[in-house]
Amino acid sequence: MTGRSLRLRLSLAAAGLIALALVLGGAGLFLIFDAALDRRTADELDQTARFLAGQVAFGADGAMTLEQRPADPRYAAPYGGLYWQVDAADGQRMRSRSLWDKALDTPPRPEGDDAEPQTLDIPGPDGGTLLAVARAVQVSEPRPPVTILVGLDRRQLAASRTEVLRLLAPTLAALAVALSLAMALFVHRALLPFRALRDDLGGLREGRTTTLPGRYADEVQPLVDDLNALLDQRARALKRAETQAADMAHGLKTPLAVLSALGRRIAPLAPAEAAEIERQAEAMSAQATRALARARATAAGLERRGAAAAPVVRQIAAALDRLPGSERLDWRIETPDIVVFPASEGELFEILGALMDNARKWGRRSIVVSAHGNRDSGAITVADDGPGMAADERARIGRGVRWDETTPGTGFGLAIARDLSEAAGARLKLGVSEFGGLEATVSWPAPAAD
Amino acid sequence: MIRPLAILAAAALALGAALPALGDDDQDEARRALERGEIRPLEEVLAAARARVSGDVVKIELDRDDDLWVYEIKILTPSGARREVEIDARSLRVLEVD
Repeated sequence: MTGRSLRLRLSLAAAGLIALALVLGGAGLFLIFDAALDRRTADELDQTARFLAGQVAFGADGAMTLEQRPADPRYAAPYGGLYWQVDAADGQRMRSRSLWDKALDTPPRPEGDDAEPQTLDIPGPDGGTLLAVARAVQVSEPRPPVTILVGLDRRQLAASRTEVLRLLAPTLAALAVALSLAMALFVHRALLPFRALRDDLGGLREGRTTTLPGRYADEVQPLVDDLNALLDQRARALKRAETQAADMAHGLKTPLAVLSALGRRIAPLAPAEAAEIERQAEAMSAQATRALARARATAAGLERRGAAAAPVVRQIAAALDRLPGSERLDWRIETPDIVVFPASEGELFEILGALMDNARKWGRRSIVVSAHGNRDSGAITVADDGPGMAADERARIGRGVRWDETTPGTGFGLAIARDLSEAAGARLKLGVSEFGGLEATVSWPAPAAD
Repeated sequence: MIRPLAILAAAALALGAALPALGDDDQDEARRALERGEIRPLEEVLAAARARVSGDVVKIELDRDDDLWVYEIKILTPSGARREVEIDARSLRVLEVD
């Protein structure tokens, strides 16, 4: 995956947001829990405060007494964590044993006659902080109220808080992982149309289809429709270009033929000029033919089709065999049906037609057309027993240069075959055949680097 | 969030255990007196007491004076005053409020 992967980026963003939400949610939960724990604890402390309110009494001599004391063992152990204290207005004070050698500071009386228990934090006897409940209770009418304080050391609550954190953190972490995985899956699912689109485009490139098939999600379909429209537009533009090139080539043929005829007519008067006219007319004709072939090849470039080699070879051989002067030739066709050329049948006709016609012109007695390969790769070889070509001539034709300017028509067939081969993703190679003549091999796929 | 609540409950229980028992065996006495029909059930007594003084009941005592069962109920009023209501346990008559 690269840094530009949409899936990775979306998944990471989702994971980040999930983590953020869970951290915030966890903090919120923890605060809520903390508040609930405080409230609940204060409630319990207030029960003890009310119990003490019921037990406070003043004797006939004005001495404050408690009939019973709260029984929790933590009230009895010095600094046991749980404390109570009752203060009378005249300074009398009773304390839980747990306060031992200390006393709690009596908080200031709240304003007004508000008897709701006051919940507050006060310093504890051993340096800690107490969550405390304070109540002012009027025990008997003329006497001023007594103040009752009950407190719990907050360190006793810390254990509960730690426990919650220990449970909450891994729970939320697991939730974050689960949600992130779910989101990743979701993103993967959401991007599936693009994968299907890629497959369809692959099919388009391999020539299985000419438009993008299939029905996509409403969000993707406009893109596919636009692509199809573009493909259609392009195909039509190419078709138009091909037609124009063909028109031009055809349009040039008659004037060129007239030019040639005129050249021949003046041959007795000016042989040098006539030959030059003939050569130039031939060159123009060849260029036109080549442009036409190129246009066809380009038009077929996007969609790669396949054409079975064997029937094409047989048809060309049969056609060439009917031409005058072909009786001397023996065609040997060794083309298995399995070989499929990666272009249209028309292109294969043009390529093999040029190569086989060239062989027919130059061959003396026998021509061999052989092929091997499978659906993905292969080669077709046309070999003759003619005079062949020198190595530098073969190299020049490889570069698209006409090598024999004295014989009309020669060289362009091979040049056209070379152009069409390249357009089809194949490569034309010229060599020496086993009979000493020319051997032309079209192989595919073309090597990536030459 | 079940566990935190469980912890809350545990904390509550721990504090609840801190509340004192009355110590004496007067609950047995009260039970026997109720079975003999000498007193009325406590909830009726408390209802009568609250009808007179509203607030939190902070102390309940059952005494016997001259063959008369008397509930002494201390109630903490919302204003913070502690009132004491004496009720005839059999007739639910309020004997004294102070």
